Amino acid sequence: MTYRRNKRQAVTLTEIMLALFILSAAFLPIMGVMSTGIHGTQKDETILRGVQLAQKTLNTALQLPFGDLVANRGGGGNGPWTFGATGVEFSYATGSLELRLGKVLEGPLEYTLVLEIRDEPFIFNLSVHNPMARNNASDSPALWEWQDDVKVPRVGEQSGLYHRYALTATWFDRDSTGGTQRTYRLVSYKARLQEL
Amino acid sequence: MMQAKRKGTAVVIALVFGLLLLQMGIVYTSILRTSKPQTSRIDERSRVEFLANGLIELALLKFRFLPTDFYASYDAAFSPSIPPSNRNNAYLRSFIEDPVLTVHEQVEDSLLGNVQYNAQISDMILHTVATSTWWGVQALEIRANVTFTSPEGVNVSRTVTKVYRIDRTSTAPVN
Repeated sequence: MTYRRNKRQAVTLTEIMLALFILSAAFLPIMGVMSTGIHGTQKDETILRGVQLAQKTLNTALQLPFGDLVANRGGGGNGPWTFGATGVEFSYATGSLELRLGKVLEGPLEYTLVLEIRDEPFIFNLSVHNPMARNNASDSPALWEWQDDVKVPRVGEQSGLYHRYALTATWFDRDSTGGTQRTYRLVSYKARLQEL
Repeated sequence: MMQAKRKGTAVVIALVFGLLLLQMGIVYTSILRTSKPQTSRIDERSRVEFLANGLIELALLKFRFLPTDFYASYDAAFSPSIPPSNRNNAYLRSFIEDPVLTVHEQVEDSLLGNVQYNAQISDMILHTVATSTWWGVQALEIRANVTFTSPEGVNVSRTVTKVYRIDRTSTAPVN
C-alpha cells in the first residue's frame, strides 16, 4: 500500500516539471513578441511626435502673413529661402504665433526642423468672354464671343504671389545601436490672398 | 482506478494553456502587423491635405484675380436665367482644368519612401444664398483631388474640400 502511494507521488512531480517546462517554452516566444511590441510602440511614438511637430510647425508657418518669413531672409529673387538648415534654432514670433525651427526638443527627443520656401511663378489659362456680346445675347452663352486659351498675365509669368513650403523633420530613433535617422517631409503652398 | 485516470492531467492542462498562450501571441502579432499601416496612413493623410490645401489657395487666387471671367463661365454653365438647352459648362471647365491647377509633387522620406502625389482642382462650386440677386454673400466651394500609389502598391484617391465666404459686390458707379 505504501509502495503504491510513493509511486503516484513521483509521477505527479514529473508531471508538474513537464507542465512547467511546457508553460515556460510557451511563454518565451510570447515575451519576445511583447518586447517587439513595446519597441514598436516606442518607435511609433517618436514617429507620431515627429509628424505632429512637423504638421504644427508647417501650419504655423502658413498662418504667418505672406512674405513675412521671406522678408526676414532679405527677400528678393525666387529663393529658395531656408530656415533652420544649420541646426541652429530659428525663432519668429508675431502677436499670437510663434514659429520655431532648427533643433527643437519635443518630449525626450530632439528633432531638427528645416523649412524651405521658394517662389512658384505661374500663368493662368482660361476662356474669356466679351461683356458687350453678353449684353446683346444674355441667354445664349455660345454668342458671348469666347476667346479660348487666354493667358494671364499675357506676357511672362506672374511671380511673387505664390510660394512653395517644404518642411523636413529629422530625428534619431532611440535604440541600442545609437539610433537610426528618420525623416518626414510635408509640402504645401501659400498664395498672397490677403493683400489683393 | 481513479488515480490511474488522473495521470497526465497536469500535462494536458499545461498543453491547453500553452496553446491558448500561442493563440494570444498570434493575435498580438497580427495586431502589430495591422497597426503599422495605420500609422503610415495618418502620415499620408496629412501630406495629402497640406498639398491639396496649397493647390486650393492657387485656385482661390485665380478666382480673386479673375472674378468676372469665373462668374461669366459659371453663369454660362448654371444660370437659371439661361434656358437649359443653351447652357454650356465648357468655359467653366476650362477655368477649372487649367494646367497650373495640377501639380505633381515627388516627396521622399524615410517614413513613406518615395511617393509621387498628383493633385488637381476638380471642382469650383458657388453656393448662393440669395438666388434673386447677383450681389451678396456667397460661398465658394473648391475641391482638390489627390491621387498616389502608396508604398504598399495601392492606388489611393482622396478629395479635399474647402469652402470660402465671398462678398460679391458691384464695382459699378452708384447713381
